Formats: sequence, C-alpha cells, structure tokens
Amino acid sequence: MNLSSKTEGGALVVSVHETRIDASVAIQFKDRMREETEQATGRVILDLSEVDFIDSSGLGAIVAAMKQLGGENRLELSGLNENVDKVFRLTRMDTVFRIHETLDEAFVE
Amino acid sequence: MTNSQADIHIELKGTPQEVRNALETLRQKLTAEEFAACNAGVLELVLAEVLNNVVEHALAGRNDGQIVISCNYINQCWQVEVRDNGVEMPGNELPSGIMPDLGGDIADLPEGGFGWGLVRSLAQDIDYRRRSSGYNQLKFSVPD
Repeated sequence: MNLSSKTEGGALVVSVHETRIDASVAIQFKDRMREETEQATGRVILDLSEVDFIDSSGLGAIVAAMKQLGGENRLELSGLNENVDKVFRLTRMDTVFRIHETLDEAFVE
Repeated sequence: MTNSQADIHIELKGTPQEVRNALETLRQKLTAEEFAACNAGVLELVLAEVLNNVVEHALAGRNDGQIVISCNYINQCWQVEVRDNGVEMPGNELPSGIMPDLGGDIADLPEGGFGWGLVRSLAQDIDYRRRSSGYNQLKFSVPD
C-alpha cells in the first residue's frame, strides 16, 4: 500500500498511489494511514486522485482512518473520480467528510 | 454449474485476493470495444459488494470456496448471475440493504454494513435461490 505525505499550506496532505482501495487491502490502508497521520495536529487531506475504485470495505477503512485522527478533526478528501464519488454519495458519507473537487481547491477558501 | 457461453465468464476461488483479480479481469474485458458504452463502473461496484459478501459470509472459514460469475449484455442492461458453493443466506433471504445511520459523533460512525445497501441502490430484479444441489444462485440486472 503506497502512500506518501507532505505538509502544504498548514495541512498534512496524504496521497494514495494505488488504483484500488478494496477489501483485499483495507487493513493495510488503515495501518499505513495511522503511520502517516500520527503526528498530525491540524487539517489532514486525503488525496484520492490516483484511485479509480473503492468498495464498501475501502470506504470503511477511510472512515477508520478519520477516527484514528481523534478529536473532532474531520478528514478531508480530494480528487474523487466518478465511481469513488458515487460510493460516498449513495452511503451519505459525503455528508460526513469535507470533499474538495481537487487538491488545489482544498486551499481556496 | 457453469455457463461458459456468457459474454463475460469468470471463475474464482473464494478469497479477497481472487476477488480483486476477478474484478481487474472484468475491468479489462469491459474496456474492450464492444462494451465501450456500458456502465462498467457500476457493474464493477455491485459485483465487488456481492463477491465480498460471499467471501466474508457464505464461504467464511472455508478453503474450498468456488465462485462462478457470468454477465450478459442484453438490451442496454447487464444480466448477471453469481453462483457459489457456500452456506445459504441466513433465513434463506437477502439482507435488507438499509444503509447504516450516520448520526452522532465521529467515534460512533459505522465502518461497515454498506455492502447490500449499495447492491440494492444500483442493481435491479435481484433474485436469490438456494439450489437443492447445494449452491447459492444470485441473479440481478444492472441497467446502463
């Protein structure tokens, strides 16, 4: 599970360099997210622009990753393609996460 | 229990890795020119949820699990059949597919229970039968 992170504009941006977050990698994703975000104190943005498929297990792992942040820090998401966006909308998880169309847009307030 | 004349026919063992491989095979077949206009993303998502459910429940704890998928594209609609040699659905009925409630604190958010809600949101004419020769047969359609 290839993730990388960088600090940008006061936020931690975690990028997923995989095409799929599904049942076969959900646990690895959750573990890698814990490693990438354990020092985070402010905004955390998960950039999914390289991901073209998630299933409900992948969705669950992203929810778990938000819980790992602790407190009231909501995970933000960017770069959802049409299929990925559909999973968030149908489950109403689009009401839980702050979703930005692109990573650039996450920094335009 | 096979129908190898289907437009798309895939056989797999009941493991998460085999499910991923099967879906990647499906995606490759769906990018072929004859299916270029089809609703590939939705078909892939519905099949992912159905197959994950089979692996996690019907075939839980088994190492001899077998799954057969056939998909036929008829009148702008995918007609799909999934068979597995696992245990039958509890109560011989499909799950209700009611999406979990998202109210309350972040710490209380559900991390699962969305699979059948997605299937019921995206698929139509869902029909489940337990066959007397000992396998599950699920049929559904996915319109374009």
